[in-house]
Amino acid sequence: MVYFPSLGSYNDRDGINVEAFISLAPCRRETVFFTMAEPFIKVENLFYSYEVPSMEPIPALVDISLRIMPGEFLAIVGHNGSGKSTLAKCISGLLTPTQGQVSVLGLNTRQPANQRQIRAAVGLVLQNPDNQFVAAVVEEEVAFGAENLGIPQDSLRRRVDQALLDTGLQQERYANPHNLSAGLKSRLAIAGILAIAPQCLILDESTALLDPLSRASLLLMLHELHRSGLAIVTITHYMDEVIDTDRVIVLDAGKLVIEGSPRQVFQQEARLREIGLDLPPVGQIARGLRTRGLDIGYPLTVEELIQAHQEHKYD
Amino acid sequence: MASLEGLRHVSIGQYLPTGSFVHRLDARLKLAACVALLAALLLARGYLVNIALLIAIIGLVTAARLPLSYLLASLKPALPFIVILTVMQLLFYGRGTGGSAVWVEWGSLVISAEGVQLVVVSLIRFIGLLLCVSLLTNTTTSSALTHGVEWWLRPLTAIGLPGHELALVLAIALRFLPILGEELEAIGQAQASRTITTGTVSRWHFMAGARRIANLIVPLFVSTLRRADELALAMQARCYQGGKGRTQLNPSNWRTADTFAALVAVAVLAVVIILRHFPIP
Amino acid sequence: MIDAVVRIQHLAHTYLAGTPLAAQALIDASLTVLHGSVTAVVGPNGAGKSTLLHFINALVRPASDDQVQVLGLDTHTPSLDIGVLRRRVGLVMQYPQQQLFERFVGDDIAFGPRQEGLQGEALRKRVFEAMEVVGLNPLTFIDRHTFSLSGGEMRRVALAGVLAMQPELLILDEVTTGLDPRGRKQVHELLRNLRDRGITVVFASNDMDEVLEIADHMAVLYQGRTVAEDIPTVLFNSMQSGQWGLLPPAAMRIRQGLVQAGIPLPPGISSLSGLEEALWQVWRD
Ligand SMILES: Nc1ncnc2c1ncn2[C@@H]1O[C@H](COP(=O)(O)OP(=O)(O)OP(=O)(O)O)[C@@H](O)[C@H]1O
Ligand SMILES: Nc1ncnc2c1ncn2[C@@H]1O[C@H](COP(=O)(O)OP(=O)(O)OP(=O)(O)O)[C@@H](O)[C@H]1O
Ligand SMILES: [Mg+2]
Ligand SMILES: [Mg+2]
Repeated sequence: MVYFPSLGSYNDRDGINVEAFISLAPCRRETVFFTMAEPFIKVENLFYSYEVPSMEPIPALVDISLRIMPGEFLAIVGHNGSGKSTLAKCISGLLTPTQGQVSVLGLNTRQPANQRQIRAAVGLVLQNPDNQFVAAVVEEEVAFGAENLGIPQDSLRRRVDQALLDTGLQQERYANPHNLSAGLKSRLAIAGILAIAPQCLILDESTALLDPLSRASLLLMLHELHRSGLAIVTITHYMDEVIDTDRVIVLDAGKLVIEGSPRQVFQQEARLREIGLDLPPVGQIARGLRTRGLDIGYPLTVEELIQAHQEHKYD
Repeated sequence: MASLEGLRHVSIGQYLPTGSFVHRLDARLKLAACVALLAALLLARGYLVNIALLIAIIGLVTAARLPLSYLLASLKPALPFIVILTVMQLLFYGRGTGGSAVWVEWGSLVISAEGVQLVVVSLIRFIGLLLCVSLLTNTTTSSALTHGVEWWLRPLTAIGLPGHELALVLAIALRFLPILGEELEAIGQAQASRTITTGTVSRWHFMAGARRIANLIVPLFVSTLRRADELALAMQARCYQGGKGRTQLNPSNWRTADTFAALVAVAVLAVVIILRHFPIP
Repeated sequence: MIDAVVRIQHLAHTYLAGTPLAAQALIDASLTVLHGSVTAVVGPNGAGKSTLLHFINALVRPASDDQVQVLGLDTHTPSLDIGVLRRRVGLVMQYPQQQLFERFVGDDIAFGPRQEGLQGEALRKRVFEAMEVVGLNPLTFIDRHTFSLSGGEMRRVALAGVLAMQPELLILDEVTTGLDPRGRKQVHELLRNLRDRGITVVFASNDMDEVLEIADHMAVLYQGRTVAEDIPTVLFNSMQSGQWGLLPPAAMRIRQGLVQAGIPLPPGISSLSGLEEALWQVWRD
C-alpha cells in the first residue's frame, strides 16, 4: 500500500510534502549528444514481423536504426500497435530480428551464447504484469532473476530487500503474487527486474496501472537511477513523463518517424496530432495561447510557463 | 450459479507459509518422505493400517499448521464424480474373488464385504494421496522443490540427461494445478460477465452446468497455452537459462531433524510392508 | 432516492474467506450512482476498486441483503436471475486479456449479441459499429487472433465486446489504461455521448485528469473504505495533495504553481482550457 518510499523522507503516506515531485522535474539537464562514446545498444535496419498461422505475417517494425548510449534516458512513444513493445523485446534479445541486427555491448542478439550477458545487462519489465510470476511467494519472485545470475546469497538478500523497499512491497513480502491487485503486480514486476541490477532498464508502460503518487515516485526513482549511471528506456502514453528525458523517439506503424530532444519533438505539433499523440498539459495550454496570437514559445513545464510569463511582462 | 471464486481455490499445488517446522524441513527429505508415504498408502492392506496411515498424515498436516478443511476443499469440485464412482464400484464389484460375505443381493446386484472394503480403502487412499501431495507443495516453495527434485535426479544428470529441466517441469506441473484453477475462474468470470441467457437454469441445473464446463474447455486450452508462452518469455527476460549456476534466496540445509524424519519415513514404509504378511482386518 | 442505479452500503468482502489466504479487500464501502451520471471510483493500488466494480456486475455477491442494489435488484437474493441483470450491466475488466476468450476478434465481440439472438447482417452491423466506436478498423482487425494483439488493441477489443451488448449500465475498470492519447480522447467522447443517451457509467481510474474531465461524481476508496464522495472539482479542491495516494489533476497543479509564482489567477479553474482562458485574460492586460 506504500509507494516508492526509499527515495526521500516522505515515509508518511498522508499529508506528505508532495510538492517536491509534483512537477516531476528533479533534474533538468541540457540534452547531451553522445557522439564519442561507444553505443550501449545498436539497432541497425531492424525489421520484425510476427508470424501468425494461416495469415500474412504482421509487420511490426520496419527498418529501424537506433543507438542507445550508456547512461542515456530514452523515451519511446507511439500509437497503439505502433511497435513499441516489439522494439523493447528486440533490444533486450527476447525476439530475434526478422531482418537486420541488434547488438548490446557489442554482442549480437542472434547468438544464443550471448543471451545471458545481454539479459543481465538489459532488464525489461514486460507490459503485462499478470501471468508472469514463477514463484508462490513475493520475496522469491523478486529473487528469481538474480538467482538465475548466481548472485551469492547474502547480496541476493540485500538486493531483494532493497527492491521490495523501492517498490513499497515490504508488507506483501510473503503474499502470493497471484493474489495481488493489478497495481501491486506491476510493482512486483519492476522489483524483479531491479534485483537483477541491470545497466539498462526498459519499462514497458510500467506506470500505467499505478496510482498517481506511486507513479510520481516511480518516476523520481527512475531519475535517481539514471543519475547513478543507468541507461533508462521508458515506453509510455503519458506525455508529461517524457519531458525530462534526454531523447524521445516516436514510432508510427512500425517506422521511426521523429527523433530528438523532448523540446524538438513537441514542437512538431501537427505531425504529432496526425499520428494520434498529444502535448503534455503545459504544452497544450501554450498551444492554445499561441493560436490566440500570444508569442510565448514552447514551454513544457510550469517553470518554463512562469518564465515565459515573466519575459512577456518585461517585453 | 455459485460464486466462481471457488474454482481458483485448488489447495493442491498451492504454497502456504505458516512457518511450521515441516516448512523448515529439507525439500529433498520432504520429497522422499512423500514418496515413501504414497508407497505405504498403496501397499497397505486392510482397514486398520490404512486408517493408521491416514491418521498419521493428518497429524503431519496439523503439525504443519495447515487447516485440514482448507486442504480438503480441493475435493469439493470432484465430489460428484467421487460419489458416482463409489456407488458404481460398490454395486458392480460383485462377489470379487468369492469367499467373502455377501451383504446385499438383489438380482444381479451384489454388495459383498470385499467390495465394501475395496471402496472404503480406495477412498482412504485417495484422500491420503491428496493430503500428502498438498502437504508437500503447501510447505515447500517451488524453488526449493525444484532444487530437491534436481538433487534426486543427479544420477540422471550424471549420465547427461537434463536433470534441472525435468525438475522444473515437475515443479511447474505441480504449481500448474492452482493456475489452471485460476484460469478456469478467470474465463468463467469473463464469460459470466457477458452471459445473458442463463434464463431458467434452476430446472436444468445439471445440463446447464455441463454445458458451462464445455464452454470453458476450449478457451482454457488456448489461454493456458498463451499463459505458458508469456511465462516462458518472462522467465527468459529474467535470465532464466536452466539450473546451472543458480543460487537460492532461501537455501535449505540438512539438519538433524531431517535425518530423524527420514528414519521415521523409512520405518513407516518398512512396517507397512512387513504388515502385508500378517492377516490384519 | 428512486433513481439511484447502483446503491452500495457498508459493503465488506474478504477474498478466500475461511482459508489462511484470506485477504480483506473491502471493509466498509459505499457508492451511490444516479441514473444517467458518470461516476468515478478512485483510490490507491489495492484499495479495492476492482473488487467493488465486480460486485456491481454480480461477479461477486454480498453476504447479506441491502448491501448491493443494482438497477433496483438486490444481488444478494439467491433466486435473482443474474442473466437478466448482466444483460443490462456491462463490465470491462482491468486486464483486457483476462476478458477475451474467443479465438478471433470478431467472434469475441459478437459473443454477447449472439446470445441475444442477433444473426447475419444485424450482428455484423452491431460488431462493426462497436469496433469503429473504439477506433479499431473492422476490416483489418475482425479476423485477427485475439491474443496476437498489442496491449492497447486488446483493451479496445475488450471494450468493444461489452459495448456491442448495449448495456444500460456500463462498468469500466481503468479502461483508458494503455490507450494512446487519441484513443483516450475517443473513449472520453464516447462516454459523454453515452451519458447524453441516458446510459449510466461507473469507472475506476488512476488518471485524475480523466476523472475531472468526464466524471459528474466521484468516490474515493482507501484501504477498503469509502472515505469521500462528492463532485470532482469540489473534492479535488478540498483534498490535500498526496492524500489517499492521489494527486490533483494537472490543471489544478499548474494553476497552483502559477499562483505561487505570483501570477494572479481566479480560483475554481479546473480544466486546461479554463487555465488557458485565464492566462489569456492576464496576458492581454
Ligand atoms: N504476438 C503477436 N502476434 C502477432 N502480432 C502481434 C503480436 N503482438 C503484437 N502484434 C502486432 O504487432 C504490432 C505491434 O505491436 P506492439 O505490441 O509492439 O505495439 P505497441 O506499440 O506496444 O502497442 P501498445 O501501445 O498498444 O502496447 C501490432 O499491430 C500488433 O497487432
Ligand atoms: N483474487 C484475489 N485473491 C486474494 N486477494 C485479492 C484478490 N484480488 C484482490 N485481492 C486483494 O484485495 C485487495 C483489493 O484489491 P483490488 O484489486 O480490488 O484493488 P484495486 O483498488 O483495484 O487496486 P489497483 O489499483 O491496483 O487495481 C488487495 O489488497 C489485493 O491484494
Ligand atoms: Mg505495448
Ligand atoms: Mg484494480
